Amino acid sequence: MTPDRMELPPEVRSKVDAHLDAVEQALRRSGAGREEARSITDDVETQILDMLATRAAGRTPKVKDASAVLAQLDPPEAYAQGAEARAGAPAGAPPSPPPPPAKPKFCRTAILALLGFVPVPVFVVLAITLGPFVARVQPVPGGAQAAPSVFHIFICCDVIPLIAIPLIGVLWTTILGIVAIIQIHRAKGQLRGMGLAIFDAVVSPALFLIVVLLLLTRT
Amino acid sequence: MGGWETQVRKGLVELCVMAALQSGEAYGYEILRRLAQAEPLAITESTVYPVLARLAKDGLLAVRVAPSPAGPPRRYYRLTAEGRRHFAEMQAYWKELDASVNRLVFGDRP
Repeated sequence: MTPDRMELPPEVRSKVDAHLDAVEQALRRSGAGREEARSITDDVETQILDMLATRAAGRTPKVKDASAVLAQLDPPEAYAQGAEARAGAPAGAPPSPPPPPAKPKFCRTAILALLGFVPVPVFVVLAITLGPFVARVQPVPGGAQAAPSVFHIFICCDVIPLIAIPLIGVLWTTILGIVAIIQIHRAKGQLRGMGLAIFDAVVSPALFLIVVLLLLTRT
Repeated sequence: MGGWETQVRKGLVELCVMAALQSGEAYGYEILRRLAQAEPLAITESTVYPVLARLAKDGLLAVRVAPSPAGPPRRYYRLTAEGRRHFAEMQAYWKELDASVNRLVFGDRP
């Protein structure tokens, strides 16, 4: 089976070299090192020359022999596809277990939404403290309106932002809470924090409304 | 069916290459010819040569370069001691796997 040493005509040699170059390029593209690509192309070259020698059976191989031999081989692109075989786990190492499922992350939007709820307790405390002063600016019996003092005007001016800020905050919490619920729902298990998102979207505005109603009833 | 067969073959290449070398050293094309005996595997050179290079890199195969009458020097591969140990482990695992899969696929039929 061992073929005799043979001289390849230049046109055959160049055809073989072109195939080997293409194989080496494919290997390099797929991440093989120079040495590794070299050793693989050496094996391919040995095979081509063995096949040529067998086909030519003693005569000098012709271009058509080279074409026929190369047609039997894998195309150079196949070496690029074989990259995973080279990149396989080191031999001797136990088979690697499948990667554990990624731990779901906490939904940041739900946390961000909660920030809007922070002014609400401050509002409640201040409303309870300042409420009695505001309540004093009431029409007196008989239809006449008591003139508000400078202190009353000052308090009333403070009450407007006191209501506006938590109102905007609760609105922020509600909207972002709804966004968080949608995000968690669409993430299909990759995001957690649904409880907080529901609190943001539903409980916080309801709580705020209850507090406001209670305060209004009280005053 | 084609995709499934390819995956199965891919997983068996390393085992088959080492099995082809247990009878003695061989160069790339010779290994291919030995593997050709297992026709359904249809393992070709673009799969075998990269695996040979990797196994040599991992120290499971030793490489001897010898002059060839046909052209460039041939690279002869043989199993190292570590390679033989690894192959024995693979054989044992394959035996177990083969029996279990056969039981599953064909039931209790012998």
